[in-house]
Amino acid sequence: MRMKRFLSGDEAFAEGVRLARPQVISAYPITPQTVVVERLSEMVEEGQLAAEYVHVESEHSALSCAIGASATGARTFTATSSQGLLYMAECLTYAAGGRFPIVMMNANRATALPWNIYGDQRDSLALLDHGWVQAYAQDNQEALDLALMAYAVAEDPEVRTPFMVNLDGFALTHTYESVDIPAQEQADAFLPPYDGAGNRFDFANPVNIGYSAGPEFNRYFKHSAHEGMLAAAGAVERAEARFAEMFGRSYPGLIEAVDCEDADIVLVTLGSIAGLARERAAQLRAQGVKAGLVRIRYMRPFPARQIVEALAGAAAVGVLEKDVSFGAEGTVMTNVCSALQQAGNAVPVVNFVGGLGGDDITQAQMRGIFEVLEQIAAGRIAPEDCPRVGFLGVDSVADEFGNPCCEGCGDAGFVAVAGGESEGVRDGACATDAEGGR
Amino acid sequence: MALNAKTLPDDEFFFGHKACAGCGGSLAVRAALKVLDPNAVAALPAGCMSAVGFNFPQLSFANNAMITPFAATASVLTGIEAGLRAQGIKPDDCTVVGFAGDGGTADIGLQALSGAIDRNDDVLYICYDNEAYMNTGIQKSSLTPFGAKTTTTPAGRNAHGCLTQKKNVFEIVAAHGIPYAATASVGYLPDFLRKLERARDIRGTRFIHVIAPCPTGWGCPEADMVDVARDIVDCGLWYLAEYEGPQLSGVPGGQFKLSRNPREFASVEAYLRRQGRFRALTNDEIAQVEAGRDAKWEQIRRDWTA
Amino acid sequence: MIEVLWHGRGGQGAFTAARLLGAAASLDDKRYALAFPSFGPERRGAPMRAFTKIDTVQIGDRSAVSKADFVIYLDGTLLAPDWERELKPGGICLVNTADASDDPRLLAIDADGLATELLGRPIPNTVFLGALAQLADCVDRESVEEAIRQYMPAKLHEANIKVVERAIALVQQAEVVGHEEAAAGESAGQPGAAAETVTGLHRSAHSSGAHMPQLFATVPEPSAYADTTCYAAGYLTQVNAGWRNVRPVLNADACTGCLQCYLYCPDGAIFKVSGQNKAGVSVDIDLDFCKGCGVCAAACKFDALSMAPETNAKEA
Repeated sequence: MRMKRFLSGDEAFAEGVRLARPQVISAYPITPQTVVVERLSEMVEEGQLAAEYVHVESEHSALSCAIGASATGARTFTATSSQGLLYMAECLTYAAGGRFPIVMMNANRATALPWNIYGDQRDSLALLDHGWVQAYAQDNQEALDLALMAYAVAEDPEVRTPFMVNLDGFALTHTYESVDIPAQEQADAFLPPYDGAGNRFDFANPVNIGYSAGPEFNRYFKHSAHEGMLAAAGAVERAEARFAEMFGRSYPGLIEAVDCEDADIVLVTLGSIAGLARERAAQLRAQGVKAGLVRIRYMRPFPARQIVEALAGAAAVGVLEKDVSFGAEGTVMTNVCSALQQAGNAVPVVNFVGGLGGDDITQAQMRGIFEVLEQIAAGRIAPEDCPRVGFLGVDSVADEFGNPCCEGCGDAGFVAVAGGESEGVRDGACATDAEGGR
Repeated sequence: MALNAKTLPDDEFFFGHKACAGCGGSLAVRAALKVLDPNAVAALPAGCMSAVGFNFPQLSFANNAMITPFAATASVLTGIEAGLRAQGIKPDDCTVVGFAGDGGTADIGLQALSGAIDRNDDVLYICYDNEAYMNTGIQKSSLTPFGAKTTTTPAGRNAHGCLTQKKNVFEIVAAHGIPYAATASVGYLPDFLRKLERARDIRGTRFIHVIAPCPTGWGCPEADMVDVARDIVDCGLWYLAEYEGPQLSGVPGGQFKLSRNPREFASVEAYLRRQGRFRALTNDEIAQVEAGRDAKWEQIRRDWTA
Repeated sequence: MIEVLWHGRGGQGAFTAARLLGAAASLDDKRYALAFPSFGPERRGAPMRAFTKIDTVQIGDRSAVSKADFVIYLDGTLLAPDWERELKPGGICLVNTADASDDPRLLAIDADGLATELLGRPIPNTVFLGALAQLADCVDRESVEEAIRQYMPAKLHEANIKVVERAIALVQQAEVVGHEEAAAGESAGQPGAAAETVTGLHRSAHSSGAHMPQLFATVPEPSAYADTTCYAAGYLTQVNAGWRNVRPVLNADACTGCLQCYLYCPDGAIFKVSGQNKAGVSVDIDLDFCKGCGVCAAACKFDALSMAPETNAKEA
């Protein structure tokens, strides 16, 4: 029976997993993922879910167990976070190379040291190249829905690729909101049982699985894995179309582009912080600023074409991510810039690194981010004068622009423009004044 | 029916592999799969037997078999068993069996093995012990015996090879209260075959630790492989034994049983001296090895059933 | 660039020789050298290759050598019928064999004999190092001996330097004799034989009905395999016969049918057949997959199995 419940992201995801009917679940606790495996154990105990629930002794074994189960043709699930994801890292390549359509939830969390249990995206983005589809949820409803769609995509015969669903630690995993839980019958209709034919043990015609392949063969396997990942783009579209038809909720594909058609400035980001970015972009729109938002939903397969299209008319682009690759820039930044460069689009791009180790990305910082983009778009900051990468709250150019212009102001002031000149002031007053605030 | 050379099935499930000539590990795998039924599903981590057995397009297992991450033999076995059972497609005569080397078992794989035993998953774990990391070219593992020269325990002026004692994996496994564990040697295949049959027919986790000489790493002629595997038992540096857990034996804490209790030991010195890896050992060191053997056997004969 | 391709079996020291050659050639800083083995999963006894590249400029190409100035077979049984394919025009192929050759491009050296005499063991690698000191311009006796002193354990220096000296003399002599024989138009049999010829004795050919891997003639196309790492169990495309330089020979009259050889064969290369003895069962040997380890002969208490050198066995 379909129902509405007020759940945390972890709980919502567990409901989605239940609906997908995995046959083997390998479970190991780690904050902030633990609630998922706790809820699943209760569902198994209560008989709501008929699955083999395996208490493995490590994350490495969690994914190894899932690989073994998938090799028998069973639908499998596991979940992890942060150090746990890194601990199982070598198994990620086994799962991907073996083309086992395992679904795993990752609670995005900072990586040590310093030890930190709070959210950022350095764990999953560090493993972007390990051959898994990577999706990033924005809210708990999307998280639940992704649990179902993940299996549909991963098990698609053209894809056969494991799927990692990322939920921001705490911001999603431990934040409660209202979610719609579909009925089991509907979920069953959406997601038929996994057919592992051709990639599973077979007692009539035995197989060898997961062998080594020397230099003269290896490239063909890797090329096929690449093709499989590329095919996931189409599989996502197909799954979302069927999902919309079945459940009445539609999703926009690999990216969500908000008001990008005529946008002068666009912020590209991913995960739950897109909520705040969306609000700020809407405020700016209301003030006549042509601001847009690109929310990356899938980092792999990478939506290069969609991003290029969304950014086609922009005069300044920002990339906000809870990640940095030390000595370079944020990984999302690198991917976005690569796509733009291939398309011959030389729009200035600024990388905002924030939210590390659970650090709050404040409204003020978000104002500052968009303000920097406005300044660049208007030619008030020359792109070459703007540092390519900055840490919010440390050395980001956005920090200078984030201060309110009046007490309690919801808008960015411009007094902090380099040199303190008033030429930075936009037509009219700040939003607080415009809305008749105090 | 007792299995012997005559009654063993003609099947060769492990065949055409690229193991060294005279490889004890390959004999262990070959013999084990002959005892287990054709529906056995095998999992092998990184190591000699997977490296020589799974080279696409030269696939040397005739049964369902797969490769696992190095540390993950036991957890992949768990997954296979759970997956088959969850789908209701596990044949009655299907043994889910793992073959891991000494490093893959006693070092990097010990945690996963302990987890599987703790869960009492219905799997058979076989450790083929050639007493060093042979796949990477003879490096010390925790099952390398005292005095053995490896490429990471060189025999020089200051040290004569491996300085540590062989880890007692059999008793570590038994300490879990596992339903069944055994030691064996490829030099005494009838004993190994009998233990495989027992293990095959018991449910829950089973473990067999089989000594499998590596002529390349041990420094002995290939043709001597089986004889060396007998010698290590005859001289008392390896023992053939079984452990039955509390449920199987009815004894609290389980019961150890010797399969072979030699009245007289063959010469430890002769066993060591016939192998290149022990060449640097002094007579004093050999006496130490012998004393260690005697102490262990005193305990075995006191505590275990003969 | 001078390129040298070494063929040997794992354990024969082919790579050591490749390395010593490279070291010798680059001792005086006038030349650059690369030496590397072919990396593979095969083990001791398996055919393997090693490469030495020598040039007066730095060498950028680290790929395997496909055509060489010198192709060296440390084991004569590895010499394939199409050995010329790997030889550059004007190149020389050196083979470890006691049998002389009539082909001027093929130089037979009884390296096992020489090594056994001087080292006490048939380790042929430094014999060929000596041969190259005589034949190749980039190294000479002094540089090869210096490489031995620098890169071999001290206790091996003296004997191996002696090996090099004798090998140089041997090649000098062979060059003279070779010219004379060529002039006289004499001919001798070619050493060695194909390494991986399928003998047809593979057990599957007898369709015993047993579960076992099967030998296939073709390597599948990528479209048939690359979408997963899941393929038909027991799919073989190679035999292991080339690993062997001795083979078991069965004396059926002495066989009692005890089957210890079958039981202890690590490769499953011995299989049961009906026998004329009391037990009614005997064995046969799958020579496609026998690696010649000799475990069977050691296990036989009745001297019904003996190990015979491969070349003799083939002639017999």
